[in-house]
Amino acid sequence: MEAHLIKINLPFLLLFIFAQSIYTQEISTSVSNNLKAGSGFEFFGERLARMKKNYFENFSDVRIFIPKLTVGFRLEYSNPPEYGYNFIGLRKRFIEFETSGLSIRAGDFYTLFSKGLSINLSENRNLAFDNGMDGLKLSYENDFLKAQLIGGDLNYFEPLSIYLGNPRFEKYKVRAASLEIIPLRNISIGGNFTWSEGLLPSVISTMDTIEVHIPELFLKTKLGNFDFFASYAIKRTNLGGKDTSKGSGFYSSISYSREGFGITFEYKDYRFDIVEPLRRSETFRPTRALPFQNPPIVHKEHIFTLTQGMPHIVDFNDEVGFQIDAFYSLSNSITLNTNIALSSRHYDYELNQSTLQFERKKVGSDLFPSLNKLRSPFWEIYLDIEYFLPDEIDSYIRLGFNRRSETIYDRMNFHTPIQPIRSTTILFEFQKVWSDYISTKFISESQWILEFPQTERFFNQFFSIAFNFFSQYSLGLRYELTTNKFELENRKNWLVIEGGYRLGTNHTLIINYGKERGGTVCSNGICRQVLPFDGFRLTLTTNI
Amino acid sequence: MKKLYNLFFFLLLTNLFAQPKFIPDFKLETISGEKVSLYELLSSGPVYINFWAMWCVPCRAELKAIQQIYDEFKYKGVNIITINIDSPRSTSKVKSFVAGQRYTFPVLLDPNQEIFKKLNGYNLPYSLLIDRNGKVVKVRNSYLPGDEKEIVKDIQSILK
Repeated sequence: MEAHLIKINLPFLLLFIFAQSIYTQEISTSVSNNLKAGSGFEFFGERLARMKKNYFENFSDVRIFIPKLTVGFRLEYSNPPEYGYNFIGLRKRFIEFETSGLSIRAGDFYTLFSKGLSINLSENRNLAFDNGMDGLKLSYENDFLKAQLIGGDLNYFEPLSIYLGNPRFEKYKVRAASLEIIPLRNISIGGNFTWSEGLLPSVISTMDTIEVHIPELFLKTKLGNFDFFASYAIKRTNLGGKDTSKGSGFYSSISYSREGFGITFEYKDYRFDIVEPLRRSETFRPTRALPFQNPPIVHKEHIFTLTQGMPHIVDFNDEVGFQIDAFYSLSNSITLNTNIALSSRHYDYELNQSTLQFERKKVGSDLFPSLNKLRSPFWEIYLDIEYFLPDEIDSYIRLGFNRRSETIYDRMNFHTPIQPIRSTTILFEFQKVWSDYISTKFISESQWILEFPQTERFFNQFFSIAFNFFSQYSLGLRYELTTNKFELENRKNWLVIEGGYRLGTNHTLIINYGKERGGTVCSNGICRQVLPFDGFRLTLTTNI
Repeated sequence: MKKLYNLFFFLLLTNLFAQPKFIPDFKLETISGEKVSLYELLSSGPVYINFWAMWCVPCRAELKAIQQIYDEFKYKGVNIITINIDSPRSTSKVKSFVAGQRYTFPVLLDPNQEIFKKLNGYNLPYSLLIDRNGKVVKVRNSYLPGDEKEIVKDIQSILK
């Protein structure tokens, strides 16, 4: 279905369907609303660069369920937004028909092919990330096969470009198919194929036109307590009619689980666009892994504030590594979680003084990650123990330890190419329900950091305490301090007071006021820079 | 634009006075690979659905409560299911997390959040209580200590 026809007709179609069905028992509706507002100041780098920051956003998602048919749309009012660009109007709309394993959807959609090496469309509003498509999606599924066909347009806004002063929009036409066959109950094999044509802003000409082909094969098996998955994708990119780049990605996982114990080993070998150091700094090069590709990150995604603060940003174009993650339950009240991750680039590069070209240099096997500094290694160890107090569901203590090391080897920096970041973090969390009416949650995080170009360690401390009354009201504060002499806004401590109110089970209001530190925030490998903020924020979430 | 907002407020008002009459069917795979259909579960009794993810701190506390609620109601005709919405970056760890925590309730996977979004979820944890006629009788978009008692009361009330 053509997108512009949907744009014109969908509101009228919605009204028609609604009017037809309002007096019957055949319709139900669901509304989810999220309102965010804030007022204060943001800081760009130095204390002097203080900018007024006001935002007001409202997202209203509506679903209308009619037997075998779902109609949905989102009205958005972002003027100005917290992060992203101004938008007022109908942001999303779709109509979906489903029967006996068959699903046909026209309009906006998200989807996922196996583990996302070729297609992984999703949205994260907090990061202003949205790689959803507008077009047609056909899916069919029975006991022996799963098939999916998609076609449409992807208008992608690059969140990383927000602070560059020139918002970057990339346009893609995407046609893709996925087929998974299940010959035996515990084995499935499949393949995906993606074709795309992209129009990307260029630094050399006005726009770059690329054509991309991504074939992918995958295998899934379950044998006893073991689960195995492997997927391999090849990406070919034509830029300006020439076959300019060929890359690939491989991901595999094996896990073992039994009562009280589970362990997972994951391996990644992403080489979608390995380039020499000079080109690596060209973040938006057209041959890179594209916005609709989002493979697994293969390292731990943290839930504590300070461990989230300096995330490892995965390079899907050039990274090889693994992760081991295990859960062990000593008893019904004590659980251990441990995680070890290691990754690095595939190669080192050396500048040939006569040709002034970088030449690839092999350092160990390129199939395994290396701790050699020339390959920019990242490693991490995490351990936590969680203890639930006897006979209490919501009262627990958690103690954690995290040690992390990342070394950037920058061949373009001839004086100090080795740029290390090291951190050690001790985590403590305690929640206690005192009575039916009052509970408390306390968090302490202590972190020691060595961060290039500094040569001395500095210390970060985070405290948070929150009281919850009658399962309806909450009141808390967050306090953070640092001894970092080079903190961006030249401040040493931050305090935020937060209050929450829940009306029934459907409406949640949160208000906070104070000074927020900011930093890099990542979710699923997608990252955003949050600027330091002084002021108040309000969030109201409603589900009806 | 004004028309669109009028449409929205019309729908909102309708919702304030009318609970949803039914929930659409969906079919998802459990972490063990079995397929579970909502309507098949509803044919044997009410269903409590809880959406969660491993990165969601309140979800992890609620899962402890859900295990107790599951133990209490599993032979009383109530189907309690949880749906994990971790992205494919974490789904391989979900099974070992569940095994490590000794959870025995059914865990379904929605790695692209298709069902979560279709049922209009926004925040985690997100829970729905559905009576045997497929009518949504309760929606929760958060979890605070003490909520487990309210969940038990809600389930008991639809069993009467």
